[in-house]
Amino acid sequence: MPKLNINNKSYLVDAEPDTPLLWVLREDLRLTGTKFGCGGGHCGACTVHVNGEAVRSCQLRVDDVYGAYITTIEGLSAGIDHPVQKAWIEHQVPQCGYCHSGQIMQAVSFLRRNPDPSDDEIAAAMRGNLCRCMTYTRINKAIRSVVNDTDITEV
Amino acid sequence: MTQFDPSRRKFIISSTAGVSGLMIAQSALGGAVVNLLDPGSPLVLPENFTPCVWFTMQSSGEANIHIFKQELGQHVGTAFAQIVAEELDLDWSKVNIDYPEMDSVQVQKTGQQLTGGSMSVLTNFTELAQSAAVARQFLVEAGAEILGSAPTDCITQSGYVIDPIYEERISYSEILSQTTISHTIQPEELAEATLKKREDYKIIGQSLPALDIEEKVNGKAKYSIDAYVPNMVYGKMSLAPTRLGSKILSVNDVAAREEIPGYIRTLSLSASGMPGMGRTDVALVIAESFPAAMRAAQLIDVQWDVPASQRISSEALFADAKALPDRAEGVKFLSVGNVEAALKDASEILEAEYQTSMIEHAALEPRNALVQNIDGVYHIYSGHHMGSALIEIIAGELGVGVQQVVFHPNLVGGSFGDKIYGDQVTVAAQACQVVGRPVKVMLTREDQFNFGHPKTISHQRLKAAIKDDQSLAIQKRIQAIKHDLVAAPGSPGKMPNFQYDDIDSKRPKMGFMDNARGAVAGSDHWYDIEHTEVQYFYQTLMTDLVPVGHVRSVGNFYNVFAVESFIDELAHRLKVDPLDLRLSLLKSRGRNGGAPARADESSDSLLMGAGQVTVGGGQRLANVLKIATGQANYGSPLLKKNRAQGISIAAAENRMNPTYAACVADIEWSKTGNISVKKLTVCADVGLAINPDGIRSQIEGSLLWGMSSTFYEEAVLEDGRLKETNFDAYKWQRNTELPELDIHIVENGVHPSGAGENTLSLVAPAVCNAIHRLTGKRLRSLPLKHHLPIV
Repeated sequence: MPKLNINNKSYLVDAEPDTPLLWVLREDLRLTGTKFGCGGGHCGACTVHVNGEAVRSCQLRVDDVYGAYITTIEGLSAGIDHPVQKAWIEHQVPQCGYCHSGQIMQAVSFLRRNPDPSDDEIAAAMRGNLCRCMTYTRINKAIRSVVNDTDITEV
Repeated sequence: MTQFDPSRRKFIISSTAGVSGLMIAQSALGGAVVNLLDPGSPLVLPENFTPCVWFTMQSSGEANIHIFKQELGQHVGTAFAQIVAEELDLDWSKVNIDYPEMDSVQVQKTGQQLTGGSMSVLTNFTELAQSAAVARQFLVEAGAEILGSAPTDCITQSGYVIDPIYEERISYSEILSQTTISHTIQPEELAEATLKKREDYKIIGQSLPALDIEEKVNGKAKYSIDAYVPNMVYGKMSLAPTRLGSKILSVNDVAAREEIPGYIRTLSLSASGMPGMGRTDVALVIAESFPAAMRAAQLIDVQWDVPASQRISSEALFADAKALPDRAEGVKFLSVGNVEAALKDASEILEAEYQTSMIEHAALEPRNALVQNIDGVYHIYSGHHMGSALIEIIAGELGVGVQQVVFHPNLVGGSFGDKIYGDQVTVAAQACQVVGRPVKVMLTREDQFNFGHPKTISHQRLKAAIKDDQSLAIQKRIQAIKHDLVAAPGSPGKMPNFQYDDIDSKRPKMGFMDNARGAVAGSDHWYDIEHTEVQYFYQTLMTDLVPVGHVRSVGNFYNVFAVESFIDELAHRLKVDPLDLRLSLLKSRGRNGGAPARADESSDSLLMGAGQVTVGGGQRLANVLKIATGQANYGSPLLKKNRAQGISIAAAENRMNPTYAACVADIEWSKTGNISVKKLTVCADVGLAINPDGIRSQIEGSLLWGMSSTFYEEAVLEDGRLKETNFDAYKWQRNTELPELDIHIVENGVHPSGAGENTLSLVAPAVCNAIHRLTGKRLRSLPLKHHLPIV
């Protein structure tokens, strides 16, 4: 049986090969922090990291990620102590909260590659992550508050 | 150990173990014999103090505030907890919130629980504050008894009863460890409660971090979609070719049976969003896993009977709406003076028509529900705005008693009105009954679009009578405004309507009209116009085709758009600045002075406009308008040539929610003809701000929702179903090209009011008024994407 490496743990998976990673995470492994929003890669609620890159887990076949290193929101930090999570709390970003696992995973991967982004670069990186509560101004404030935070790049 | 004499007070404070007789037991700790009646024994757990249904205090000092409202992202739990903690003088670090399950017994105590209309804080503030104040008095008396002090000498502070004379203190935790206070607060005690003065507030008015944020940034928050129980199966919908009216003729599932491991069966069911709304046939594909259900759904062949009458598209729907006032009788929602006579007597008439499209809730969590039968009781795990009503609705659907249904509220991933509707719960409950296993129904995004309850389209015709008046500087007076509104209701039910003798009458002769709740919201503006009439035309074709629903800001969105655009058009016609015209009409004449709540009003009539705590209405609108325009430097001659400002005001929801707001939109017209909104300056008077940052957060969201609805959002009906089925086609505001949001919160009122919706409706008219000023083009239909670029 193939294995998935998620949050530094190894899980045996018994799923049809074309099952989207999202549903394996949620239904088989009960890692429910990753959310279903659209199923079409349009909203970003299901964003996880595969080998450090932010990807839409609803668009990935599970058999394409066997052997890869997957991180979900549950694996981002032991407590709630990742700088981006702390910034989200500091700025009281979430309203309903449903999209924020995806928002945070997207922001973390983006900031690792670009620790000192301009406002336009932030907009370009985050425009694919929809928030229906429209917490965008706080998302951007939170991201700007952690630019050049070395704790992000070193993770 | 303190013994209390119950006869001395109305409530009972007693030693911890409340049973008679001697209980001796072997201690599990050390073998010594202990007396379980000794409250000092470590084996005796003191009872919690639950004086009312709204909160419980534990002897550990922790307090749990029970939230019988649906958490939708508005952080209602934090606001309620602040109200209780303030009047109880709790230590905020020991305050927790929970969302109790609801059953028919619980509902008797809580009353109907509806989360909507931005009304939660408004309608619950007084009872929460009074309950906490009474409970605090119990603690003072119990604490004073232990301290040997006179209760009247004692004060409370952050979880302590303090005798300042003898400089002694005892914590709530110690009090509740030593005593049991068993008493349920009675209504007459609430009325006697002494509430704190506003200047003494320590917790209310603080921007405390919301109590439910941390679980929303680490993936631990449990939403409706995260409910699981053992042995459950999954339901995936297979929807009809039209949103309403189609009937299932046959289902062929041979291919699914042969090819999909885990496929179980397909059920033909009937769904309803709310009693009284149109029902929809659905085929529900049941499988052992959701991926299997999705695969099977693609192989199921459902034959549908589709009535030709349902094959209607948006174009025909709008044509029907436009023609309706000429061929149908409307219902007078509001009538002041004699509009028809004023129109005949006018020296000039101004007339304009406005139109808005269907708007989706588009909450990021599609609707879902899990229903499990345990020993004949149906347990619903979902999110829903009306848990108390849901129990009755599902009992009715299943043909069981209300005592056989329990609702377990989970968080919802956004609602905006979406989760008032329970189609998916009715389907899950029916399926659970048939299949005999727990069933979890999940809508995909595509299902959500064609199983949803979008905002109605609207068509509005406004007509003003202008009369020469030499006594005024501008020599003209707006004598009358007649507003014909075509829309459809978001829920069945009755709605009060108002007939006033003239502009100076304060109390209307009230009647009732059917099916208009929400649709007319915002049309009852606060301008002093001698003759005013709002006539509502229920577009039945709309609800024959789509079971439209309440979507954030409800009717305010299109009514405020029409009224505030029209006032600007009048200002232009009268050659007066729109700010000056508005201020001249906001003098609080007669009914526009608002009205206090009346003591004789039952909770039902809280929904009746004129009786709410709307004191000072017109004046409060004038105030916020002055503040917003001042903050925005409205009218500055320094404004660049490609920039302009537009203004608007809004007071929400048929005068039942006393939030007053004004907006200045700063826009820029690019060389390519695009319009961008640079800044929205907003001032909102919320009466009393329980948590200012929470209010700010709600207003930020509302304004960007307003941007989204103004520029992008439009659900199109094509052959009886929604054309857009996902976010690639249905466009809304992304995290890009955001205006600066400059938000000012003021507290001029007598009562806290809601902040979740009111400011949304400001955006469209403020932007359109600015566009007119800048380009000379008056845009009377939304969304604006159809009008752009302006060249």
